[in-house]
Amino acid sequence: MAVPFFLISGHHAIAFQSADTTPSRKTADRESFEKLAARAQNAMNAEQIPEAIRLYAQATRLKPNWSEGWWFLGTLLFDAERFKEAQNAFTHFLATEQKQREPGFAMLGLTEFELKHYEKALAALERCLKPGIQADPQFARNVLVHDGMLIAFFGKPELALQRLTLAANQIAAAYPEAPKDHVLSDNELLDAFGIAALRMRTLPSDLNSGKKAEVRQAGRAQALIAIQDRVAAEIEFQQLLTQYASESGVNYMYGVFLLKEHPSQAAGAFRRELEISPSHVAARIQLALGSLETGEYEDGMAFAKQAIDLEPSNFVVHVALGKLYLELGKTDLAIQELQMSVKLSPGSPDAHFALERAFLRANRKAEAKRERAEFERLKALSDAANRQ
Amino acid sequence: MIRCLLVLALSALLFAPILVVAQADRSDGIRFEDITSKSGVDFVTNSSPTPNKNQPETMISGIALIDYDNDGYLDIFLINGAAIPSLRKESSKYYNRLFHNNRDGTFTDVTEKAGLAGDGYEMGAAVGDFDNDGWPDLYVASVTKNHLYRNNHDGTFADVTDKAGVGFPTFQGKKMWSAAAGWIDFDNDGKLDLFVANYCKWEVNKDPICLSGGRLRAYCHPKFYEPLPSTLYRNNGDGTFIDVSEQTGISKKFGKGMGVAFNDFDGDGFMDIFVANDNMPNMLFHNLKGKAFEEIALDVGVAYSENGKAVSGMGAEFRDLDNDGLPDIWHTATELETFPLFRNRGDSIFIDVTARSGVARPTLEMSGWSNGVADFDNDGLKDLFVARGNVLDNIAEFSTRTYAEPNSILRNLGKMTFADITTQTGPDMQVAAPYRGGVIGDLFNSGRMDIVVTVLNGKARILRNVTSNGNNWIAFQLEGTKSNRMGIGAQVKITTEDGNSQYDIVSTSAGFAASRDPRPHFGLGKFKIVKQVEVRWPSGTRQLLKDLPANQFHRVVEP
Repeated sequence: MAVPFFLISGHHAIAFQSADTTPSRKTADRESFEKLAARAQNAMNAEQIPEAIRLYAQATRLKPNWSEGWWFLGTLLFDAERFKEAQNAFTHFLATEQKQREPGFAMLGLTEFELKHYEKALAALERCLKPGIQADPQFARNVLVHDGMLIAFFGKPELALQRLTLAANQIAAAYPEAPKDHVLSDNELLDAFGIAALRMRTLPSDLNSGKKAEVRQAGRAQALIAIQDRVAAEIEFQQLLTQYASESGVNYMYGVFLLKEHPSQAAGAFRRELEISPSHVAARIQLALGSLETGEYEDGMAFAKQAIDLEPSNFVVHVALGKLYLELGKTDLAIQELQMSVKLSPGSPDAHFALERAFLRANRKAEAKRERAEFERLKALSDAANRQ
Repeated sequence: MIRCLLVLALSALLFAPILVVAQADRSDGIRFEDITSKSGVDFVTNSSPTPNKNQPETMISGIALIDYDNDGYLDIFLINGAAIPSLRKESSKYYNRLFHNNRDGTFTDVTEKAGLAGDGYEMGAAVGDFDNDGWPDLYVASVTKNHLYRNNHDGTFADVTDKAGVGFPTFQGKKMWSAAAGWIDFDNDGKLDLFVANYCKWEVNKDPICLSGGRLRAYCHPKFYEPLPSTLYRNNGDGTFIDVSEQTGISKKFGKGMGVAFNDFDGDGFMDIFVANDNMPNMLFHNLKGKAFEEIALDVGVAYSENGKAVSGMGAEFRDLDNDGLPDIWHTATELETFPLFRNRGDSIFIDVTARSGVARPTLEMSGWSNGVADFDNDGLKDLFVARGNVLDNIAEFSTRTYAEPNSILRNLGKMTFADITTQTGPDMQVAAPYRGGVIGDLFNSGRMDIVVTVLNGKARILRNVTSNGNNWIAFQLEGTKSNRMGIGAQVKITTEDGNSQYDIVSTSAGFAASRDPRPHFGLGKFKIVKQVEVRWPSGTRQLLKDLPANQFHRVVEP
């Protein structure tokens, strides 16, 4: 029979159903196991942590397919900062638990993070998040913050900001009486936000003391954007700019903010960023995309070409350049660039849509139809994911 | 052919223009003057804003220009909300209002005599002569029951909704929230049919809680509501209608319909339907010879903005903007989206020219609602108008944006390019407010297209066009015989002495929830004669008129 259980171990609170356990031992073993499990639970409830760990370890040796036992053992080890052993326990949990594996991936990811196995940590956390996280807000916050940190570390700051925004909103929802205060008091979240917004490829623990204050200030601004208090965010930005306007990433970050508030002023911020960080690809992409709206196509073309030289594998640059060629009537060149963007990012609905538009301009209706179908397919997937 | 034509050039005296020239500035640019205070139009749109942030509270928009007494002058009908949660007009402050045009710049409230006060939480209005008696009738789209009012020819209307069977566009057993409607003779049988754009599933005081700034309850994003199908009613010709949404394919596609506009984009003689959807792909229903519709917005390029995103489609216009004879599409959206402009290329493909036309740049920071297309300076090029205002009444508390915005005029510079000239159009156009409704028409038969706008929980305004550049114009009042009496769907082409042509359609459906002046109007610049006018009637009849004098309304009867 499936038994619901709820664990509060340290700050990792999860509710889930245990796997069915089929008696496979001799009666004596079973009696022994049941006694052991009861003693382990009693020890845990009494907060006799070392004893609880010893008993759960013994019980899981006796019954290796006891997923519930692996879970408790893993969380106790995690809270005791015995991460190597916790990793082993969660690995066993995932091998034995068939129904509710997401919490296991979450804890394994957090454990790998502590062990500095960042690629493995990210893979595990992403597997937890894939079906959509359904846990208590604090646990969800932990998963999302670590996931965001790692995504930024591996060079995808926009995606990291999405995850961290979800984390901020989990916190805000958990404290409706003072959401902003709680978000702004979460320094780990603020630092993660700051790193992602400044497009740094580092982790909060690796920040040197000179950079910490800047990152924290940037994080405050970004956290306020996340909870949609853009008036307060503007004030934080002014402080950030007063102190750190000559630091790399600050003007870019402000430019992105301006895109949502005063888009006509954003280009100025991106240009200032390029003065400070001449090889800033993202600023060039923003300027190229912005030129599509202002009609300054030749300027945009220059920025797009520079961005491609710096980062030829970035599909967004090829989309921007393709669209610019299209506006300038150079349809064949547009199609070349947009085909490249689709090749680099076949899962991007935006790239397929842009290519479809270009094929239509060129009267290549059959190819346009094919791209349209792919766009629709990918858009449906993307919309479904966004609804989660 | 000429003998077949009944062309009554009504003298300038009959349509006596009341010239109001701006005193301080005789600039030849487009200028508007607010005449509300002396007009007698005193109307406040009451949406009953509540802490629950019911979605309809931010959306009431409807305005109709209707010459209900056939005196040759457009009267003004304004839509209103109701109390919440009852959704009933519990007091007169919620009445819809009809203002009779006294032809002297003033209006008289005739609502109660006309019987048009309404009863529910209303949204949009559509004018059409559904019974072909020569008197315009009125349909009101509503969150609650929709209404069809038949014109009794004596200044009163009869509520014929129940007999007509058009009060309850229904989905899954529930009356849908209808946001807008329009009259169209989709099967060219000479009887006006009715298209209703429905918005989303909604129940009073059951909106999700959406917080902005992490703390303030705000109107939710449309994604939190389920979409609905549109409704098409076919006119049986006996005062009743039949819902043909399913058999024609209209109800196959779901959306959050706001703007409705009609035109024949492929020139096959049948009116097509464009619906601007709020944060869902737009819909273009291609009319399959009056038998059915296929939805082709994505195929032809008008479903999404240039970057493949569904924007907050609101008001819509479907008219030829570059004088190539092919109707283009322009619709509004909210800030950061730009207002997409789709140029009809002529081979069932529309090209997004929002950026290239100069529309993207000024509209990027605008939050648009109703819109309209008209040649405000009579230079032969149709200009753009948009009524603006942020969706969120508390936006300023968590953003540097403002709830109130000024309206905007984008002047057509030719070759499908536009420039925002709002700041040059006079001080009255600079007044910021949470505008919603907006409609265009020549209220004083002056040959200059005026604008009426509504303000959410504020006073409606009449913006009189006082442009004084001496340009000439021509306008037409069509009367169908085989075709529907109002000539809705008729295509009008004029050619001036220089061989250039302009095109327009007879349609009252424009903007968001609005019903505009049905009379095609053309600016002629220096030309005082129109060499040729060609009318393509919905019946298929083609009619040619020659050498018509400018600066007049011409009544054209279908031969």
